[in-house]
Amino acid sequence: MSLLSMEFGLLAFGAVVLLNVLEGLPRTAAFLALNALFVSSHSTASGVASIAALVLGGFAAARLAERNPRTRLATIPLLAAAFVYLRGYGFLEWLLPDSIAGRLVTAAGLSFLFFKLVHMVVEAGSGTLGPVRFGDFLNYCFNFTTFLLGPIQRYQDFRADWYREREVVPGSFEGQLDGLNRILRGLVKKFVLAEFLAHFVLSPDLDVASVSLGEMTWRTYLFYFYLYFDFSGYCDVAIGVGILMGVRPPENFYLPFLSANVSDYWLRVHRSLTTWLTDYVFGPLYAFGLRRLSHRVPVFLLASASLVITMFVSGLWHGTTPNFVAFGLLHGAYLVGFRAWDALVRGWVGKQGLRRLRKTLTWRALGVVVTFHLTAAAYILFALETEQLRELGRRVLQS
Amino acid sequence: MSLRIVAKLLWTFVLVFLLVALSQSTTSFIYRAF
Repeated sequence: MSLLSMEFGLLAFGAVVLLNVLEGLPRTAAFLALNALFVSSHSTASGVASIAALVLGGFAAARLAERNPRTRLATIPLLAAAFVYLRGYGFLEWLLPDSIAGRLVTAAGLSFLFFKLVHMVVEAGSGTLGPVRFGDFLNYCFNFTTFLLGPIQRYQDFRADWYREREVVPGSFEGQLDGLNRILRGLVKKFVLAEFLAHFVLSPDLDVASVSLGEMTWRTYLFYFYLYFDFSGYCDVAIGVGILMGVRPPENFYLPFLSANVSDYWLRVHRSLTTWLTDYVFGPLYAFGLRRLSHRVPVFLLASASLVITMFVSGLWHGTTPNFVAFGLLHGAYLVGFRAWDALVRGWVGKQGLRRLRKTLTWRALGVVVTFHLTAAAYILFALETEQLRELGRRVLQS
Repeated sequence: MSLRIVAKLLWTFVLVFLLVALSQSTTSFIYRAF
């Protein structure tokens, strides 16, 4: 179901009307029906069954965690194993017999669903989730605006919007117009700008052997812009529909091309993923390291290891091939390199000096240029297949 | 109606025009012309 299709238009329009008109159980049931329609249109029957099983498993795990937080030690790895299996990671072929590894299902939206479920289980165990009704839980998991590509909304925010505990948008004509314009802006980004750039970017169909290195370079930069318009356009549509429905997903992009460093970059690109990884991977890892290892291992090393592991998880989550793991590890190296560079400059000019330096236009411009090139280069791993990367590497070494 | 709302309405029409005229996914007349 394309965002520009009549089906999606009717679905979004129906959701906006029904969620604003209905109350209580009929509102929950109507949204669930629309979400089910959307989810089933993107997966096979076995995919839908797998998604349903994963969601029910997540609900049971959250309930168990509420009663005994220690159950998370078993349920989260189980959810992760189910996710890895359903997602069909390449390494499963080596680990599992052919008869099992070959029976992979086609189900869309698993990555975002998995992160939502882990969030629910962790927060349920910490006592920070608040009351969870089964119908609300299902609508949170299957919310069609964020099901396929995010942004990753937190359950507490979803519930606050659902029960109108906070004002998503002023109920004025102008407020509704802002929501509509947000949808249109997203559609233009995705179906005009990204669609146009798609003809000139790196892609798995590109014959790397016959393209000059110069062309590869500009295709890499264009791929960066293409990905931004495509993904942020999708998020604009999700946020715009959410504004009109009254359940607004979080902001996800903020002009990544102006990032002053790689750390800033991850707060401007896919921000909801970054905050998820910070809360549920980096935070616990770093806290564990500080608690158990800080008397033996330098803090800088603990932070660096936590960063690299976090970005490794991010890479694995992004895709099922080794390229994505390499993408994550490269960004982990970037982040560690940035921290080391920051510490070095702080050693030279002092804490106050570094603060002053960061405010200067030259320093900032330099940071923007370096970050832009580094992050654009990393997208080569994102855009090309392993064979293409091998060929590219061979050509670069020869030249 | 305030000037701000008029500007936003105009912006809406510009976005709709861009989408219809330039998107390959719609029955765009610019793409068809090529």
